[in-house]
Amino acid sequence: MDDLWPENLAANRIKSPVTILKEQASLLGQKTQNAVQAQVRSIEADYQGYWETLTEKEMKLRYEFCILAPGLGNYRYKLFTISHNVDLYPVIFNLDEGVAGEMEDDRFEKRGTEVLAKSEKEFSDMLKEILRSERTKEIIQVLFSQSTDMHGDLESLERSEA
Amino acid sequence: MVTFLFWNLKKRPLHKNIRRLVSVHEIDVLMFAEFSAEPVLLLKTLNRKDTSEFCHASGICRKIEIFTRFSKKFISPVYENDRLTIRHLNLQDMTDILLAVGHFPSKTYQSDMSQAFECSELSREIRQAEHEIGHSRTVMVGDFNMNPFEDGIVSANGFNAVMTRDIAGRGFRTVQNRKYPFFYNPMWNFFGDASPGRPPGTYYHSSSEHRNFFWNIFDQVLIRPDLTDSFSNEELKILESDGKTSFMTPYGIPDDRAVSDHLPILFRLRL
Repeated sequence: MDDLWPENLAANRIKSPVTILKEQASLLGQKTQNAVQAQVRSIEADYQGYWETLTEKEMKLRYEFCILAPGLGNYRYKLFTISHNVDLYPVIFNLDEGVAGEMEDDRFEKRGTEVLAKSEKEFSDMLKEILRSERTKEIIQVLFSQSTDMHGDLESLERSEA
Repeated sequence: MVTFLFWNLKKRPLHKNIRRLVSVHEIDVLMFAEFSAEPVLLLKTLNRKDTSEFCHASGICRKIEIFTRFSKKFISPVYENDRLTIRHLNLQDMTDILLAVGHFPSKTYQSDMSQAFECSELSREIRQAEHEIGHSRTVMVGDFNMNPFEDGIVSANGFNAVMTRDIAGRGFRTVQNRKYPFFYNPMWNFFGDASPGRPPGTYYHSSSEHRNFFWNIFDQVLIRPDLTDSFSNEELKILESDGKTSFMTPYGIPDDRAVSDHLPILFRLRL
């Protein structure tokens, strides 16, 4: 029997948006001695924003990216959501208003708090902008300070978690 | 009994009006949208000798500011985003509740459809917080920028907020095999000339468009069925004065030049 399939089918694997989000989320805890963490969760896709209406595509996959403070009763702050269809890209970000206000309009296709990333590269660039924004830093710093104030030192927080 | 007040201040320093409201109504929890002053300045006005000490129960959400007569440790945030703060109100010897406070996008910037879609997201976030805290004794209050009859407020995957206790008392309704919990929306009672207070709404807007309601009830309190026994309709008011200064113009609409374009709402819960 002849093999009609092309060679190296799995060679150019596209990294899914949620994989990239989870990779980045896992790094925050390491930077804050786990006082502040990031969490990525799948959410129901019964929402349409501007871009979905525009393109008439149903965005079937949605995820939220939250900043989490385990030492503050598992307090969570939703920083943004993403949605995309099974093709993975484009991805629609729905941003925190403070973060959206810092974005330079000409670098990304933006409408209000919604930003469109058409490729993996654009997605990573956008994510970098969000994570390095002043608003994100402010949120993390406030939660880090409150967590350390509450628990005296981070070792006690780690012990209480254990 | 815990007394709550919500008010969109239109970025005005209405500290003296707030102090009089606190004194007249013995308010325990103050919740503000469009609060633009330094919190410490309001605290200076509030914390004089004849009133109990208030503190600023700060959160990360920038759209809402909360001040309470009790320690802020009893009203800690459990979930927030840029427009919503959900607090766990856990006072000694009282039933604990979730207090969700929001200021949602204006019709100036969002279509009715976008507002409705946003409500489905906010509603999901409240359900998630209820799941995590382990009960649904929740009160949701804020400036919704929508009337009680609009899609985002009434639709199942929005706030699912209905006009009678009886219907809300059924707990939930099922649409397309998905269960959605009800809110009771007592604000329906305030429409028109039979409103229990004089103002037939919280916000007045007149335009030359074909569809014009004139009076709107954008500021609302929604109560989960598990909490309706703690709430009496007589204990919900739209306020038109602080006891001394009227919030209305001589024409009977909110005085947005001297006070705010929104009227405050006051409610009490027996916890």
